[in-house]
Amino acid sequence: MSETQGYAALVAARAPALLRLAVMLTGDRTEAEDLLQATLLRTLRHADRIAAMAAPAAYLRRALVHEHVSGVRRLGRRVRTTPLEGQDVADDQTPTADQRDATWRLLSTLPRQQRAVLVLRFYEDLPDRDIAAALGCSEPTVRSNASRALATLRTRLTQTEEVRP
Amino acid sequence: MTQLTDEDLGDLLTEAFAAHEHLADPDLAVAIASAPGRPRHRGRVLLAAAAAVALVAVGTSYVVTRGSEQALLSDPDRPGPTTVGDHQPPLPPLETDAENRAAAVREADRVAAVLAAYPGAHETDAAGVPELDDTTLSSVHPQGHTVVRSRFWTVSGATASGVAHWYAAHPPAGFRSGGRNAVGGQGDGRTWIYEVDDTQPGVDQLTGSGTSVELQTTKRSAGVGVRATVSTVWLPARPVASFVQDVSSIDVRSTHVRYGRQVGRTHRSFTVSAAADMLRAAVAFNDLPGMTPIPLPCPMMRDLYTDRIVFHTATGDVSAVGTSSACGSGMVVRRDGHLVSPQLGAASTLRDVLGLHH
Repeated sequence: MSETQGYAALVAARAPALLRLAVMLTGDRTEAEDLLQATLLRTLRHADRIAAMAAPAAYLRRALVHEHVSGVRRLGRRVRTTPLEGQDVADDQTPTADQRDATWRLLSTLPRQQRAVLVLRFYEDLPDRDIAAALGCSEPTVRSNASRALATLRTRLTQTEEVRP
Repeated sequence: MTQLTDEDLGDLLTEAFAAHEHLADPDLAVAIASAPGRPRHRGRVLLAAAAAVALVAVGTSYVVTRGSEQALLSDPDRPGPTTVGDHQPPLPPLETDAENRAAAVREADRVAAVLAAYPGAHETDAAGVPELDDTTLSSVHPQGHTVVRSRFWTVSGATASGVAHWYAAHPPAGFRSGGRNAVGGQGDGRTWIYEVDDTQPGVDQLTGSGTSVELQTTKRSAGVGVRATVSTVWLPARPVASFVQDVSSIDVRSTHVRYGRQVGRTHRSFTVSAAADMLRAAVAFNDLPGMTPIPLPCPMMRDLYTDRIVFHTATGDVSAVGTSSACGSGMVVRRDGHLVSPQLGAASTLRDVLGLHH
């Protein structure tokens, strides 16, 4: 198998996981698909090099996260404060489900880097060292971002609870 | 309310993420990572080293479809044009993988038999020209969907370059090589292999179908070694469940992404409900060929279209989701949510019928 074929096989195998990560990072199905496409287009240029890497999947994940976080520099921060259009919300009306859906919506209000930290820690289950590598920052920065993000979520979830009839 | 701890929040986040995993369609992910296309040749790619590379899925496994085949066909065991009752549009002639493969075998054998030999060449077998073994082939074809036939010769009193140029000027009947400029090549620092690629004019290369010939020559300790490799790609047959009839409406959602210094995105959504338009779209959809994605080097794409087309029919919903770019197009089909293989190629024709020009 050539390196190009190897890269194609790698991308085909990792694409579903990358798209799931993209959904968590963006909170939006369509934006996630665009993010994955943009990431693959960017990484295509280095296909042979990536195929020869010891940990190519980690590289692709890092590229996806970087593509997402760097988007804030290009486009400016977009804050979504309304429920996500056209996306499924659980019918379950238990308090846990309500909190879970509120949490999902509130994630969209966080700065991208903070959201990325939460996704990598609580969805990808990565240690801070790997999160720092994926984001291109230091471990203290990861911890700082996580702390601020959790504090923001805690405050806003509390406010949500208080205004709910 | 009780103050949430970091651990509580972590649990909430984990649950929130898990509850939304379904938004990531794994098959669409594969489609995004895929750029269906025609067989390509490494020699040419090396010459175009500045070009970026587009990527492709190397195969996807699908759940076997269920559903409405019985409603669509009166006799599913008997392939052929089908006009059951007043169903519109009539189904196109049904194919089978076995028939398609058998036709490819016949075609590969036919072309291999009529290959011209350099004047004075002596035919041998693969062991007679070990310098041109399978690892030296440049062509990339769909695995499991390509019939390959090879012939070998040795030539005395000529140069490898001269023999390659002779072959470039003498393509098999029905093929073209591009003339003298068609000679490319590859080397590993010790030996050089000249290459000539013969293709069939008019063959729908976007679907990767048809036959191609890769001609190789290389210098040996005595004379020149020649290898001709015929590759015929056969397309996977579409099952009945992947066709549509009796369409009541068509929902379309299309996204266009233009890459450049700044990324631009536009979205379009509409519903087709006029009878004539629905019939035209159904005919176009039913005419799309099956496709096997392959690794494809291609220039960096500037425009990418992602479409979701849902046919609402009397026997259920059939959705087609796929991407189109300068490198090709492909669609993943579902009937009532169940995947139907194979993917479909040449989706741009359906896009044309639906007027999907942003």
